[in-house]
Amino acid sequence: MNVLLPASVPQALDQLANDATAVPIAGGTDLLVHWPVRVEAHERTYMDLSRLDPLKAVRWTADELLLGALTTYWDVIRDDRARQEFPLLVDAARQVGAIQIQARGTWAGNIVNASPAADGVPVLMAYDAVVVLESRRGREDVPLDRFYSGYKEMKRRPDQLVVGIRIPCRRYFYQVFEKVGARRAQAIAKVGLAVTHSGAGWRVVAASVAPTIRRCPAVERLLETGTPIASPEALLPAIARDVTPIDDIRSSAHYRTRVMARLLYHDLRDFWGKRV
Amino acid sequence: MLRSECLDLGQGALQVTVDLDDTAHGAAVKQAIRQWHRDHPGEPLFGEAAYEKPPGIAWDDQTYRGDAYGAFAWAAYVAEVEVDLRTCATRVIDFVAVQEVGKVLNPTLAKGQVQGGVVQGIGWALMEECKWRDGAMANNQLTNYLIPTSDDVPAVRVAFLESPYPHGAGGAKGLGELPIDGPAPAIVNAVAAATGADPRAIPLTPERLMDLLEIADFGLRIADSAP
Amino acid sequence: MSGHSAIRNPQSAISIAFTLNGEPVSLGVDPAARLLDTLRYQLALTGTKEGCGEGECGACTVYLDGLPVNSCLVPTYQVRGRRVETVEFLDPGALEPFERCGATQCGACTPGVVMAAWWIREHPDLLGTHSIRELMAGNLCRCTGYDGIIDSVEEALGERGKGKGEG
Repeated sequence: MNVLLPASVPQALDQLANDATAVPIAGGTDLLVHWPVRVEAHERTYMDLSRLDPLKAVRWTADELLLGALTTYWDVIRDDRARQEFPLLVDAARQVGAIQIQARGTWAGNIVNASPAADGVPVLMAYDAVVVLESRRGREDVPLDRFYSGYKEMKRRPDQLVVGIRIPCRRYFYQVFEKVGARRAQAIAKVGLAVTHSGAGWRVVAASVAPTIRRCPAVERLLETGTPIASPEALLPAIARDVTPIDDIRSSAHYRTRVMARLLYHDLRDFWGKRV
Repeated sequence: MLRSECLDLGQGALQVTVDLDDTAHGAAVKQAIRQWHRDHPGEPLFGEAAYEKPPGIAWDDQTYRGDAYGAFAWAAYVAEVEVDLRTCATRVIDFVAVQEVGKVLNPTLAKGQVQGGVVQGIGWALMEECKWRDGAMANNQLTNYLIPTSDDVPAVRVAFLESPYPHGAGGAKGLGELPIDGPAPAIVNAVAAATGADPRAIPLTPERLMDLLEIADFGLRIADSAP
Repeated sequence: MSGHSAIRNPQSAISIAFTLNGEPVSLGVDPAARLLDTLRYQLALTGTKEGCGEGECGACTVYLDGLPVNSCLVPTYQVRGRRVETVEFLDPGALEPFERCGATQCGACTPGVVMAAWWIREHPDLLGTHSIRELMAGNLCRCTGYDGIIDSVEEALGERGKGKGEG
């Protein structure tokens, strides 16, 4: 195992350009869980981001919140303004693992780890977050809801580094985050849902029900058009168009589909059949 | 009853009978031994002891009939649960454990043993199971064999009753294994009372409860109505 | 298990300096060393325990720049220039409530539990947004059922919980 220790972000970008296999490491929680059991994890080169101060910023501008790549879940939980303006970030952050994980895990790491069951990604996506990538070739901003192209496949070239996440400030009329796990802490989501409603429209984001975390356009269309929905079952056709849950060690496709339908139906009870 | 014979090498026997429920005799034995050493400085004293079954406890090992134990400890467990009908997840919101154990020898340890066993029972009732694949355990890690965290269980309220067992140390009966037995039945009974489902297996995971509720007619109606 | 921190290739060893339990420390570490390994096997601070190696049980909890973290998930090279405190740093006298309230039985979880619990005690403002049970949920215990632990945190915080009574 080798590790690169860049002293600056430009140096980090140089190192990534020179070694396409280097794995950037921030908090490291998703990576080190594999160290005891996976031989291949020891045959890699890691690039340590932990001392790159410019990546630590939580910065508010006039119209957005910028989370630097090293921003942890705990940083957001303790940010009073984030609690006010982006409460789903705090809801999700508090349901990640436990405090020991929240103190280390980063939002950017959650994005690039690309688990279909991630907790941070759904709420970021429901807030229309944008991933900011830097490389020696320049900067690229990619909306998170277009960042994933398949299971663990994303629009990040090996020479690119996620340096931050931009979240536009908006007035939200409605927002909710639901994580269904086998216990209240230290659980991987069986079903995740993040729903927001603002002047920009409805965002319905689902986790653990497809190879990637994704928006649910068919469900969003039901909301946008004010289609009457009289029961959870009435949502099943739209859900079937948007997601493809499976049976796995944690749960079943049947359970996931039914729970997603019931959560959407009951949480959005006030909105079905109304054009808002 | 513990009968103890202390034999010296040739000067006659120092024989004492000790009843376990009479600590005064224990002190008397210590006194006697100390005195014997004062009377026989530098000489070894050998001791032998054998357990004698209390009278009135009859067990036939040929027919496997009779009193297997001298006494039983008893318990009554009550679980209060909340079932989220959207997710079919069960939450234990209160738990009362009452035990009759003869005599509580160490209150902190006895209460701790019950609370620990109850939480193990809650885990067994709701989330713990071994999943097998090709003869090996597929969920052999703490990430996928799930036990309750502090946030998954209520404060366990514990009460003890004491009906001393005359042949137990200080009147005590056994306690260690007791608390794992009752929680799962109490929880499953509570879920049945709350939902009308009839669970017959644990862990009663949300997936299994959903299947049971879907089978029952009114389960579908509950799923459609307001939470 | 990467249970030992022996430097496999001296050429890849990384020199780091950091503050450990209030004292400066300098050493060379393997890139694959976890902070847990370095503490236990290189620095002979065996109070921190490996319960799972995957950030689930919390027995390996230490403070990194004042925050509780799972040392099994921290690459040691990341603590360079930072502050680490282990269970050895806690004042044994301050642990009296944990003994009295039945917070420990077999002891396997205890080092991590007291680290998390003491940190809560030092940050009582957290109770405005969090319950003790949520804050302790990263420390798994099989013996106590958590009541003794929660009671001891409340004792340490100087207040008795208003929970239901016990017999």
